Amino acid sequence: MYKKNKSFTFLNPEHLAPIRNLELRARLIVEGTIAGLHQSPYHGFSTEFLEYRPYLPGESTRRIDWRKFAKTDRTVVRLFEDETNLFAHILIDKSASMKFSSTKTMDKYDYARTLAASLALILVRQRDAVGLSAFDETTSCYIAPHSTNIQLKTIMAQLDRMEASGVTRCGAALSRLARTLKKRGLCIVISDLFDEPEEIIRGLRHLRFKKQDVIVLRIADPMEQNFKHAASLKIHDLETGEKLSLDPVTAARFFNQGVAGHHAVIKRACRELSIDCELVLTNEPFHKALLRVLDKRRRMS
Amino acid sequence: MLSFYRPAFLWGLVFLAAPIIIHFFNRRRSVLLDFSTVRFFRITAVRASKIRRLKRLLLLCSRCLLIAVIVALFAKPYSKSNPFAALSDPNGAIFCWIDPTISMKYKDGNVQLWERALSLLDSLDQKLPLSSQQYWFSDAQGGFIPKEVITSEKVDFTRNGLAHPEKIFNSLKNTIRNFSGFPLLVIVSDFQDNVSRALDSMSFFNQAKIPIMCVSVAPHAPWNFGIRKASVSREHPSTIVSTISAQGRPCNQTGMSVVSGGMRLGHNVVSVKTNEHVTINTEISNERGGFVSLDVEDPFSFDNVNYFVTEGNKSFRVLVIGDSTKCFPIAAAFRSMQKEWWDPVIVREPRFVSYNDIDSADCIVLNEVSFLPRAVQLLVSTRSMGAKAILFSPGVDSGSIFAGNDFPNIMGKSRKLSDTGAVKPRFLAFPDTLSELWKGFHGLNNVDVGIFRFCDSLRGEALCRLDNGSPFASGLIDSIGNSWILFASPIGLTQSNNLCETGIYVPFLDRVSRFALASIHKDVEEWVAGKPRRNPFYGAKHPALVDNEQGKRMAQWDNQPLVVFNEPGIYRIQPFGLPSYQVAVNIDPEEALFTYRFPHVPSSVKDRVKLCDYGDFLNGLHDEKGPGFFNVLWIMLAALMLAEALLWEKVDKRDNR
Repeated sequence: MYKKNKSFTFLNPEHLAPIRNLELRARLIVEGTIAGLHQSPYHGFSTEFLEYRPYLPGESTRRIDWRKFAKTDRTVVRLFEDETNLFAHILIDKSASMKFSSTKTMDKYDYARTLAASLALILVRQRDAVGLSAFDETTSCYIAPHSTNIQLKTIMAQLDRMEASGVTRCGAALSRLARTLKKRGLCIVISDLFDEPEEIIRGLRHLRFKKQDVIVLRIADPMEQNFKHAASLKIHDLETGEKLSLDPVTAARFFNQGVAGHHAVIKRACRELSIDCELVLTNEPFHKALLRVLDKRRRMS
Repeated sequence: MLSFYRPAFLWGLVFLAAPIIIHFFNRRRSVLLDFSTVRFFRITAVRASKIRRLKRLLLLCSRCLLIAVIVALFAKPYSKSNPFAALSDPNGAIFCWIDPTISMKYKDGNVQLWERALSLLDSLDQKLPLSSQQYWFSDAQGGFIPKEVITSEKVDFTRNGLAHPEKIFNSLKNTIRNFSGFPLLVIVSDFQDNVSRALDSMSFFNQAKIPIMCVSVAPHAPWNFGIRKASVSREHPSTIVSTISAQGRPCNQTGMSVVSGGMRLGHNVVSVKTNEHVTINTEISNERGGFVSLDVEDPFSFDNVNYFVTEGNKSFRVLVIGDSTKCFPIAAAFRSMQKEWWDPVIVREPRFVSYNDIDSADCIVLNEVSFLPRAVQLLVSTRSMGAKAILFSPGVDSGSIFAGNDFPNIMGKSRKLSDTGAVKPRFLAFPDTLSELWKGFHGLNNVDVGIFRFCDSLRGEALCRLDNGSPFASGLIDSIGNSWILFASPIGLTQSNNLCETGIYVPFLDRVSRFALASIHKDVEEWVAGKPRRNPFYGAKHPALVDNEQGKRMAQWDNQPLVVFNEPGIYRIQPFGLPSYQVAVNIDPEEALFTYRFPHVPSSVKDRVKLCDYGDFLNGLHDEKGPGFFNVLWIMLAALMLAEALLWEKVDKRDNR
């Protein structure tokens, strides 16, 4: 589906980091690469015309309004009300641990919200209802799913406004969200998952129980994936403020082992719950991460 | 206290900087890292981190120590306190003192002890590094001098008397003062009791701050026959009393001869059991000096001859301290007694009394002294001058100052003066007229002697009293050993009594003075060959001439404080203006007592004083490894290399992860 293309290289985080406007950043990502690749798996029966939108390369040509093409010489696609019945919910981790960055370009939270904004844009464009929840130890923001452009603006504004702080309570946040969801839909969890594995699994199980398709995007800094440091360390926990003095070799040994074990547990549970759990590194181009998600959705459809 | 045979290798210690620099080069400053979570760094990680840091530190220490040990192995360390190890020090100086006493002439087998001592030092010489220096103590030179200078004079090392250890110590101190290397004192002696006692008495080991090796060349089973003493009997001047002793073996049927004037005047056959002695009386026909000889072959022949004289000087020196006007009756009284008994009699004003005056006197009269001269204070406070007979009469006249306050332990803290007035004096009363003290006195009371003022609280045993029972003269021995005669009133010219004007004055002083001398067993001292003695004519205005038995002039004694006879024999002393007399000079009787013991080594200096016998010393010399220093270093090296291997592997492995 997706092949490596040189034109995508500008979508790397380091290139996008200077762009402060989240919406613009999201549009750049989505319009540059993704649009047209995604097709909603949920087909509505409404015929009430809503609006035209430009045909995007990669979309099926069947949806082109050829009459309009004949009149205006432009390829447009007609959109109808209730085109889709997908209720997608993006759950983003805004705890302080997400502020960590070893690359000084884009931290995990920045990456996560860019990813969330891009996903929201994609989903709204294809008329899916998108909602947003952000959590640390509590759920600090909840936006119910809608498919309007206003909703997109609201989500963008909310993502733009929020700052990472607090302690990760991922499992509890998932459970709280599960309690609010009534319809079946899609949940996209964007987090570093630095919570107790049992809690997280309990939350995911709860979501699955509510008939939600769940995609877990585990955001990780490259250093969290392979801890390596030359000098002696005094490690400061961004969430709790705790400080520990460690020598680099021991720190690497314990962290790498610990992280590997932690995620192995979560991954195994996800497999059992038929949940997609994807690792996304913050030095990875955005389109790569998005395409993996969309590809996963397409396979689901 | 460590020293090194090859100190130049210590420059290798600069390599210690290498591991330290590497350590600090690798060690970067701790970086503060804001990290997403510390949930994976729990207690175990912190502990492991601390252990690892500690291991790195241990590794650094072990590397430093490893370098230090390797350098030390090259530099060859040794303990300065270990005399055997010090012998190999190229910068060392060996100070040798061979015991010069005559007991070193004891013949053990075919070898005399001093020959053995010399051969031992020859062995030492062969083992010493070429660059080390050797000094030998020479009694003749009065100090330590380089061995090269003294080699031709080896025989001079044997003397009849013991050099005072203080002389050796001072010489040693002066020699090493300008010496930068490492000194070691080697004392080679038989360590007879008298030598050890002399070393003990001055805490020699404590004072000498350098390592000392005492090597004993004493025989294992000494034996000896000898004449301990030969003298003329006081009761029978024609009888020679000889004491024959046997040590280690019984002396069976041995001939003993008495020779006088070149003729054998008596002969006896004696038998003495092991470690016992017998006394033999031999009648001689003339009254000349001579010797007693034992006709026996034994390892120590020097005590087989003992000299005696029949006309020896028995005089005692009298020193009268006080106002010369008041004391002249005292001096006159002593001079009018037996000439050969009290001679010379010297009168000194208190302020002119010297240490030598006090030291050379046998009997000291302190008459009405208003203050105690420094020399007298020393006399009553230390043993250094030997026991004296002291006659003390306080000043009780009006205006006199009582000097007895300076020695309250003699005169008592409280004193009470009694004044009878000029009309009714007290009289002297004697307890008897039969005892040795007062034999020949006319009556128990002497009313001629009137005592007007007196001190009525005298300590000690009352020798005579006043008619009211208060003691007039009392005797006591103080803690130093001096024999005191205390008088209640002055004995010179005084207003307090008329004693010096009476007929009992001279015999009274004579008796109490002799009593005081007898209390300290003061007899005519024997002369010991090689041992300095006070010049009996010190302070006298004229010299004395000294001739040997053959009439050869040996010395002239002027006003020098000490005189010495080097060889045993009979000598004639001719004082100027006085009749000549003979003295018998023998070897020190203690030199013939073959009881050996090492000096006492205080625990504080045990690590730097080594006591060993002849065999141990030679074994120690031939033991190339010396003490276990090197073994310890090799073990340390092995242990450190093992530690290095263990620690290094672990750290390295983890670093490469």
